[in-house]
Amino acid sequence: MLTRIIAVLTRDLKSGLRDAMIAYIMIVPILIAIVLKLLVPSAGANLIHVAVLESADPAFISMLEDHGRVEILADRDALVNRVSAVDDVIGLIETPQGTEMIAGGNEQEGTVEMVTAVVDLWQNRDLEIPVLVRFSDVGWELSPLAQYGTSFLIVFVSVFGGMVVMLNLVEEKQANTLAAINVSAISRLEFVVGKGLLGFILPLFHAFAILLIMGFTSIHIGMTVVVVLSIALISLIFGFVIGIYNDNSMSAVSSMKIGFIPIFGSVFGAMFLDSQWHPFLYWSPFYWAFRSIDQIILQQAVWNDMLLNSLYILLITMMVFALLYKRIKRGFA
Amino acid sequence: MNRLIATFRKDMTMSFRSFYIYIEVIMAVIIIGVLLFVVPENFQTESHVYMYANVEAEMQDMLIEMMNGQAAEGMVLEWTDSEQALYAALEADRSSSGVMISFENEKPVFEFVLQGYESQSVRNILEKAFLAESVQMVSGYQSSINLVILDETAEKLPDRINLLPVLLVLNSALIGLFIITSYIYIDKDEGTITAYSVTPAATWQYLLSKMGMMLFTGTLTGLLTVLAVAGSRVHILHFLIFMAACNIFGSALGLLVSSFFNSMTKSLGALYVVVIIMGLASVSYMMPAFSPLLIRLLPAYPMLYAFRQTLLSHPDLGYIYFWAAAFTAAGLILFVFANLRFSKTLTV
Repeated sequence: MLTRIIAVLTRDLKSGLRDAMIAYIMIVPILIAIVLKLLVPSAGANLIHVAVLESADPAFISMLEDHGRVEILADRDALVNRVSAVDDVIGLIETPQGTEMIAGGNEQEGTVEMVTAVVDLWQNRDLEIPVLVRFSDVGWELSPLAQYGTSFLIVFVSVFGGMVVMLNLVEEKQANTLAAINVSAISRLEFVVGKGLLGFILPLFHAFAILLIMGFTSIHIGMTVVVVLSIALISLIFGFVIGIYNDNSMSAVSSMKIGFIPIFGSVFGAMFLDSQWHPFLYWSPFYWAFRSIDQIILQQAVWNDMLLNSLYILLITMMVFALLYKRIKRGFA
Repeated sequence: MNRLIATFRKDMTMSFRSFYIYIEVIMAVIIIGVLLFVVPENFQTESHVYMYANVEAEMQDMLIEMMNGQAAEGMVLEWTDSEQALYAALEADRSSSGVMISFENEKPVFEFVLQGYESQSVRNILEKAFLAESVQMVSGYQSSINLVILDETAEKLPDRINLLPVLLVLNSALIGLFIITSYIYIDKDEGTITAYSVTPAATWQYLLSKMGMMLFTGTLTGLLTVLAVAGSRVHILHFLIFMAACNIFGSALGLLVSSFFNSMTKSLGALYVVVIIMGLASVSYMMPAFSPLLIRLLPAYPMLYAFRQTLLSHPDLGYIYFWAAAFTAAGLILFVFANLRFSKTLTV
């Protein structure tokens, strides 16, 4: 049995590598993780974005660079054009009367106030303020964007990777490969398991690659494997449901879009909702998956919680499977 | 022209027979429901600041009362009774910050205790924002800032309405990116293309008919969403023209990308990446001070802001129509390339 399952898996890998399909599915999530890694340090690092003239005092420019992003422009017209653009850029021109601050008028709340404070203190830098300000921190260098971005990416990519593999299976069904299986030495169950294996291997590969790229090297490997395998289980059902309920690929792709709603809803709900609202998300396996990955990244995961969360995912998946069993069976007939 | 209309009518009939259009409408209804019933009109962000006053007992009450009175809107001050309790609170809530107040040589010392991921420039801004009020009380203080607002009537949209462009771009304007590919593969699988190739109709008519279908669906779902959420606020004519331009661009891009692949799954994989890259523009849209050139160059970036313009009381028509013309032109160029590629590959 095992030999036949591995034979199906090897055949899939071979055919996938021949037309670069597997390589493609493997590489794309990694590229997305690299983009996220590149975005993390710059997004949120600067609260203000200002534009000044080339003729501005270098000390003034240097001070502004300590507080945010600075663009240096040739003349007043260029500066006004830049401020008029759709993003939030404040123009600063030093004049004999002081500083002319040019704003578009639709900046996010607090932007003009922050720039005003910076310029105001620069203009009064010789005054001694009777208050001391110091900064310290508790040594937590993980930004919320890196933390939540990674958790979200792992959940999303694991679901997508597994789903693509399952959709492949449905495509094979449409191409009548399953009918051919009926007259071969392999049983339908062995064929489905062999096909589905890739749906578990790919998410594992992706999860570890993403964690590595994002710099989470001290995570618990065993717990990560358990959680990612449980996410892959969701994707299996997700793929089955989409494939079986749609008679053509166009409506399957549209359904896939609708399917993304519970993923986004659960993950963003877990991120932003107060914990008292979380019971409204307990029905969603993606919520438990996200919570587990988040705990792993924060290095606060313990086996009991991870196993319990994975058990919830398993139970929800089994309930969905039980409800749809007849339909799935008919779909593969 | 008659052939084009006939092909378009056939495509419309087919989509109404399959679940496709209904699924797109359901998706639009779900988005409307989420925006109207889940997303608040304006986000109320609450930031927790844990405080510890390391001062004599008799001063503490006065200090607490004073600081509570000065807390900015949305800032919740929570007082702790020791330095350790403040650290513990910060470790339990990673989105919070802390302030320890003490005196040194009779000068008040405010020590901001952050998490550690905040950049130096963020710390510098925090310092200046905090000191801005104190400096005004120092003798000799002078402020010579002349604030010039370029557009005094500039309007700020409620948060819920402000979110609309993101959903309109991803769900309606770029609808063709995903769906047009599946459409072509269905025709391949069902042998429609084989049948089509022996008719007098040209490949471009076949492709244009598909784009027409996407235009219809995108406009329908976009209009439903914007009317339900923004109501009379939207400038319908500008909205429809801009939606059409974006839709033409998205569908033509979808056609061109899918022409390079020979299977549905591979095309979808490539388009999935395109959609994620386009989605990056939403990050800058939601955080306008973060606008690196690479993101500003993405087509989705002006799309988001132009859709936003159609929701303002006084839209910048120059901006909307410049980008509408640019996307239409780019869409037509992409269509020509896609047609050239499909003329060679879309055969029996």
